[in-house]
Amino acid sequence: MSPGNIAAKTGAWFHRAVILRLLNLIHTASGRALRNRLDMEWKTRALADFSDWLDGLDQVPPEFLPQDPADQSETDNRSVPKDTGSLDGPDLYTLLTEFISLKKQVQIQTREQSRNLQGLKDFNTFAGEGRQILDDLARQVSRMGAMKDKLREETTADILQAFLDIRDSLARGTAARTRVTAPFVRQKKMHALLDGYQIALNKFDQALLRLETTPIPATGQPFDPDTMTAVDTCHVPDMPQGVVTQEISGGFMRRDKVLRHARVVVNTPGKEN
Amino acid sequence: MAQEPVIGIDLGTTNSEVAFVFNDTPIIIEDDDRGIMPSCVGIDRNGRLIVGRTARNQAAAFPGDTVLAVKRQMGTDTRYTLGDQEYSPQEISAMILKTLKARAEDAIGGPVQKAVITVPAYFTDVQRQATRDAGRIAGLEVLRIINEPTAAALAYGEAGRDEDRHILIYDLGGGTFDVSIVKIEAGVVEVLASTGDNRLGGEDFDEALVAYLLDHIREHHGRDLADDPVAAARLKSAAEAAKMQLSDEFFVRIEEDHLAPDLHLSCEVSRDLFEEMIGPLIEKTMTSVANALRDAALSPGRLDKVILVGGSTRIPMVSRLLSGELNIEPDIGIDPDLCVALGAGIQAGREMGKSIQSMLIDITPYTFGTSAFGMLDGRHYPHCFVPLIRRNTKLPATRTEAFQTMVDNQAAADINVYQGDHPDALDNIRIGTYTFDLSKAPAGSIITLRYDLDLNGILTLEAREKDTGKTINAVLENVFSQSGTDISEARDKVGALFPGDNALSKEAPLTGGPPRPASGPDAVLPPAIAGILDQAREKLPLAPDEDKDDIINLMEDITEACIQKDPDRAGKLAEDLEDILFYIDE
Repeated sequence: MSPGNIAAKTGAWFHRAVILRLLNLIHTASGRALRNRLDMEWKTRALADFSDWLDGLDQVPPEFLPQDPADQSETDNRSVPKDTGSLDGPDLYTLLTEFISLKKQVQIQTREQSRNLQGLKDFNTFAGEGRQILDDLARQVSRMGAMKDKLREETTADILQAFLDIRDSLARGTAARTRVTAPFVRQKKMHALLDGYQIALNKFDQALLRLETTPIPATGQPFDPDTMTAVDTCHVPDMPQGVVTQEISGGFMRRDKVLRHARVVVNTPGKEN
Repeated sequence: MAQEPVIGIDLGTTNSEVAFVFNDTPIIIEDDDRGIMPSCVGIDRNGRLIVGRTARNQAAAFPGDTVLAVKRQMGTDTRYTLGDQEYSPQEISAMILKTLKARAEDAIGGPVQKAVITVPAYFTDVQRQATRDAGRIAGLEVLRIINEPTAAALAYGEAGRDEDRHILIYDLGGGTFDVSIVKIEAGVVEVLASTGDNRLGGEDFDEALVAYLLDHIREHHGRDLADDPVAAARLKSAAEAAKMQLSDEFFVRIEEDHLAPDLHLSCEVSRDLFEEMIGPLIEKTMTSVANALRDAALSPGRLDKVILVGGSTRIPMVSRLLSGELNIEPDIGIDPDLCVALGAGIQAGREMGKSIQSMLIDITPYTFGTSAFGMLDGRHYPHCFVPLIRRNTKLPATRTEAFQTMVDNQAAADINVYQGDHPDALDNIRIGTYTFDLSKAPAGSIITLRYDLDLNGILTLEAREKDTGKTINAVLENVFSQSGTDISEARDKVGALFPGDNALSKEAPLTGGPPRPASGPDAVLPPAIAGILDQAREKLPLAPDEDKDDIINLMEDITEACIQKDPDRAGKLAEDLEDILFYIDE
């Protein structure tokens, strides 16, 4: 055993012994403090006891006596001590080596753990994002559905509007039949022509009905600002005031909405037609 | 606590609108009406109060029970009788505001108690106070009264700019015309001049067209329908529709059957003819523009922008005359009917503490046109530029122009498509040329040329012989990128003039900030390492100062190792980097 080793071992033993003794004394002192009324005798006794104990340390403990060469070569090989339960622990080099090895292992494990945690975190983030995407998708699908319905409604309404003008023309043509005069010989042909107009108009209205579109009754009805637009007034003495005397262009409802307001002339007092 | 909503209201003479900022974007609140509600109040036959479209519907039949254009009476002692009650202009306006408030509450889903309201720049203090009172009667705390031109400038994002600006706002609506010049200095808007005519607008243009149609009927059918209310109403509708169509088309055929039992109308109106009819009215507005400039003591050259507001500004003649007078292309990117309300909405959003970005506007950045024989600098010139779709026009846009053949039996016409603004087409960028083989016809035969430009920069053109209907079609793609000055191409070209100096052909490297992996095939990083580097970039701001250098060095070394194709070293360095990152708390 090298002098350094002996000094180290002695130092360690001494330290451990001193610490144990001090702990013992502290324990004793603590008890005294708790009791609070212990006389001073114990102090003297403790000091004497400690002094005796210190005196006894003059002798070198048997473990630190010179060892035989076999033991020394074993120590030089810096192998793990056989008796780890004794006061002298493992040598520092071994401890250091093991500590470094342990630290490396901890590092590796930490890194793995870190990776796993990061992976878990990524997975959670991914899962969260996935949930978010699915929620968004569900919302978008719902919105798209609503938009599709709205667009379909608007497109149908737009197309219908264009055709309503044609219906107006047909209606005006049919209404003109009462004012058309023709020589007797051509009246039959003329009436046939106008009947054809009427049939075309009826078919038109049936097609509108299939699209849940119905005409707003106007002529002879009280003026309704929710479904009609007054473009002018006239005075028809034998009709009530505020009643529609003439429809300029027809109004239409699609389900419960006004697709097109009827444009009408309203009977008001004072203005002769 | 949820922020208290503030709405922006354009309380107009003819129509009113309400806007609110949803998700930092001002939106016009609609109710089956594009958001445009007639500023009209009435009492129906059952004594029910009606506001907006419904009241407008009965105005012609029951004018005594309907109030129109109350804005003109704001601040006066006028009294309106509705049913058995008398109302002040403020109270009538309050009914309009209350209806808009209810509309906004439905859309927002909660009560609204605060508003920003716009008024004309020429409104006196009394009129402004009356507007404020109207708001209070409607249950609204009026946080701000702002001028309509200011609102328009806000909508175009002008108030947020740092530099001083002079802006002319030309507002031609259905029944009123205003022109204002504002100065914007450090975000503060000052109205320098405001003038106009509150009895001039789109309805006058309709009437001019109706008068023409009545003349046409007199001339061709020998009948006078001026006193026939039904015929007059139908002609007015037809005229209004034709007026709108003429903004895009060069010719419109107006056809009305059974105007009288044996009278049908079929009449073609060209844009030139329509402009001839309304020319004197538009010229009047140009006089007001000149007056406004004089009042503001500004020359046209000092104007930075011209903004068009009001539906009637869609008439191409307005833009053309303004452009000619002021030498600046007017801006009509935002729906001119809604521009003021959107500006009010933006101000309302600001009152709520929201940072509103300027409106996203889809406009064409370039003018697209063609070339034709005409006069340039007082002499005949075969390559005069004829703009069809002007710069700053909202997209999608459709415009049609008409041209005439020059000689009898002209065999063909070259159709050149140009991008630019120079009157000499050859100084613009030609992006397409087509030859249209013509039918045999006398000189002066009409050929219409129609451009359709969409948001994706696809320009579709159609040339048509008016008499025969013969057409030629073409499609040009990516017209916005055909600027003729491709940057990288230009850089290479200029770079070639400086041998040895390759600075012009390379992008400047980014400086500052953590290093990023170099681009290119040599720097492809394995996903695991790329992930660690991403993590490092994220954690770098959180790292203690003593670790920051290490992290940056490691990141650089890893990237370097990857570039040098040394995966072992890169992996080892990545492990070291990972160790450091582990101890940095997020």
